[in-house]
Amino acid sequence: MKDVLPLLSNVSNSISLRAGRSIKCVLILTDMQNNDEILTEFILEAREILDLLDTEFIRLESTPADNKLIGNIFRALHTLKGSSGFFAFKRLEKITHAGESLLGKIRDGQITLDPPRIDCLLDTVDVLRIIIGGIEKTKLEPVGEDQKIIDQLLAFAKTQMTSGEASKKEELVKEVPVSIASPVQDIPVESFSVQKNPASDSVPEVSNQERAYDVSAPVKVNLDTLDRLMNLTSEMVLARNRLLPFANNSKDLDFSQTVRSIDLLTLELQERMMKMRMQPISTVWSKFSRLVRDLAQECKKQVNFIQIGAETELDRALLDSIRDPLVHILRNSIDHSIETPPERIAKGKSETGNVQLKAFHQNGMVVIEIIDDGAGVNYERVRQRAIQRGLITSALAQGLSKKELIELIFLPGFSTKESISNLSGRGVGMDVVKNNIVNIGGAIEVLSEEDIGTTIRLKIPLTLAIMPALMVGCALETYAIPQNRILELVRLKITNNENPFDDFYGTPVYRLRESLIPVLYLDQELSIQKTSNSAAASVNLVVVQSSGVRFGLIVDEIFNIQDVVVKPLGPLLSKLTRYAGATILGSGRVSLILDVDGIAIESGLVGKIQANPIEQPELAVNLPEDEWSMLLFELEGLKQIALSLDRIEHIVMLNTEQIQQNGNKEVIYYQDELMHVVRLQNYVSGCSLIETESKVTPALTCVVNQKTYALIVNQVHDIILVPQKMHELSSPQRGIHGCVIHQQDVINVLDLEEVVAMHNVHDSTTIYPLVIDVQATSQ
Amino acid sequence: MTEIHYLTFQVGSQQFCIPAEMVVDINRNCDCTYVPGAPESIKGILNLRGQLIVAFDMATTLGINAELNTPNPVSIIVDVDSSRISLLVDQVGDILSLNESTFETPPSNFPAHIRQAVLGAHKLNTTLLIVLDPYLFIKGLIGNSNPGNTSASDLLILSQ
Repeated sequence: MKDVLPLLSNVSNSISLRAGRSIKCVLILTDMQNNDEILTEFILEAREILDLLDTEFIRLESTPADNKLIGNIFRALHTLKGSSGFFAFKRLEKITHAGESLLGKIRDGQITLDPPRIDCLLDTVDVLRIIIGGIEKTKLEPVGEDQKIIDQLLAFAKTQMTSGEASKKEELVKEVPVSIASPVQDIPVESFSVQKNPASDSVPEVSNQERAYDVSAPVKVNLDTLDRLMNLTSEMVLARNRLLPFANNSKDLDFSQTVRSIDLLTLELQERMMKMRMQPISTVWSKFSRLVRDLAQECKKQVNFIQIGAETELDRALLDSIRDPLVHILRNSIDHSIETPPERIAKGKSETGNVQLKAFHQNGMVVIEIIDDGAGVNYERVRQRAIQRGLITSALAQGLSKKELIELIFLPGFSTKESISNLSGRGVGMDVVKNNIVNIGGAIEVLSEEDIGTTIRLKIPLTLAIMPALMVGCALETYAIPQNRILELVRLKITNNENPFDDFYGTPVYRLRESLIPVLYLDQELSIQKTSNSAAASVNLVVVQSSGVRFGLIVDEIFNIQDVVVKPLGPLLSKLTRYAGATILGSGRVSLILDVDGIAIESGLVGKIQANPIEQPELAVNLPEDEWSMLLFELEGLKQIALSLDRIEHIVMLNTEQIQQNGNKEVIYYQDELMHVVRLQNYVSGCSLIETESKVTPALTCVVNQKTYALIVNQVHDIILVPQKMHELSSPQRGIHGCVIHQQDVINVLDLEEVVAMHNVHDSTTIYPLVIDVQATSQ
Repeated sequence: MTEIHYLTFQVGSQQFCIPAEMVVDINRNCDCTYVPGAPESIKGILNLRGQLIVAFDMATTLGINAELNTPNPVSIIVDVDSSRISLLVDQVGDILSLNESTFETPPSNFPAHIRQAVLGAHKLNTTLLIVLDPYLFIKGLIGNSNPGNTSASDLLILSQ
């Protein structure tokens, strides 16, 4: 079927060529279903051509003399015209024909391409796109008047000629659409057989020309077929898994060898399958050059658009969901950030602004950066706007750092732009972007310097199908909770059968660091009959976040975090909103993946919040206060020491036997990462230097100067909220920054930089320099 | 007169059959994961070679007993409307080749809610063999809520 359309379009082209354009024939297929399929092919092809035209026109604008490029465009448009003729889509045909006349002139060098002409051609592409969209919906060409665009195209096609020539050509040009249109309807079905033979004779010479454009086109595979293949592959992997034990126990050498080769082949097949789902990010980006150009023109700005790393690959499902956020961010950059040329000159910048789109792989994530050298975020204005909108009090606003002000941008309804343009600034903005990114398990980060520029960094997981999830047990079944929804885990010891939860007039709530969070029992939410669990010694609380609501989910058991493959539940169970899907565990058993949002909605938690939307932003974002979160831990000989939570990446349990020597430093290879082991007690005043004997020790992983350190501690206690006021120490203590007050307790705060600096200069002697120039050594 | 192959199976003391061409697989892998909140007729989800399959407890679906009464049920995997489901039954019987001429549609006073599972019956020598259509009860489930209200007595009357 794939080859049919170009062939047929060639047929109709060649007919029109041979007959000198005076007679136009149409091939009418008698089989309606066939026709439908061909139509789908046509729409696909047409869309492809339109996308191609978009990018090629933009390229043409910068290199107007590129004859090869013009030739390409001309051919693409010509193919479209031919196919339209075949389906008797008269509007398409007329417009493409007019476009062709203009392009033909350009190709022959009679006219040079200038911005108004490019605009006109791009507008043409837009009109074509609308018509194709209409055809896709109704299978009929939508009704509409295109005379304006056609006239414009034709006017542009003649303006640079001598007047006499122009009028002659114009007549010719005007004549053609009419002569195409009228015979189309009149040709009877019987003409099919008559016209077919002479047409097929001339196919080869035309198709040679077409092939020049078709060469690199990859094979198109139906998504469904691809998914099924993927499924088959995973079945094959499972079958192989069952086969392996037999081979291991078998004494038959031939059999083992055969199994081994099957094993290797399956592995290869699996890898190739995973690769097949991946698509280069350029499939999304290719449309952006047009977007940026149009936006820049509309804002009267000059923008140089640079794309780096377009070949970076992402799962195709993810590609779809990052398109809108990226478009939004680009709009913001051009509309808000990049200044107009006079403004830029006044600031001593080059007239043309730069917007850079950059994608690369990092730590199993895809990082996409949108960098502009525009005005950046006006922090003062963000502050003012936040106060105006009543998001924060002015007293609070004054104390906000830049990082905290940036967070405000992500609040719903926030815009610093005074006037609302039709491009951006309508208040549906960065909050939606953030939501979209978070929903696919990604993260967003904004770095901005006033008058220097803004960098927006998106971190996207490689694939949607696999995500990390926490496995929990409830009423003898195992459930998975997506990790990106989990804030923390709390285990409460129950003493004397006391209820660990406060009773908020019938509704259980839990005091999590002085804030009340509602508590849901997972078994009740799922209405499972609980078997018997009368005397549990502890309660496991999973604190999760759902559309602005924090709540605790009580489960019987907490197992581990593992990567799960998400499979949809299918149409029979799709009505159950409490599940996001299911996954197959290593044992072969199916386990349900909980949908935290669904549970929140079903339980009524979210409904209540949405009835009172004004408060939502406050709940959604932990507004920066005068307090910060710190992790409280214990070192040998020092009971209470804390480190700001922002500095800590993970809390991990390290096996001390796995620590290895690297010169005089200790390192550990943990989860595919080399970490420098820092025994904190060696660097902090007040600790005793006794080595702990335990085989497993908790460690905090931190990143300082792009190196990962694992800080060995004795025990991790809690996360505490403490006032930001840091009390200086009267005499400087080694490794300690100062202290904070938490519920009348004095808690030392670790000076991470100093410890790392000491660690880096520290040699095998036990005499440490007492004063260390942190600035110098940490470089 | 075309002949159609039917797979017979037993739920409780009742004999049923489905068109054999729908059947993909028959196995004893009935270890399904309970889905809280799902309709009563759904026993849970099975893993069939990496594919998630919704398993129907045929006893509940047909309203025969509260539960399947064999400790060792059999799972019949059928292809319905491009998706696969599993029918958990007590026992699988023979494949019968039946002539279209013996087929009868349910009588007009047949209770409407049973029509969501029963296609008709074949007149055998001594009894009527009920022909089920898995598509019917799936359709009921996707379109409307719980179709599994078919009661045992209705079925017993039917097979008299």
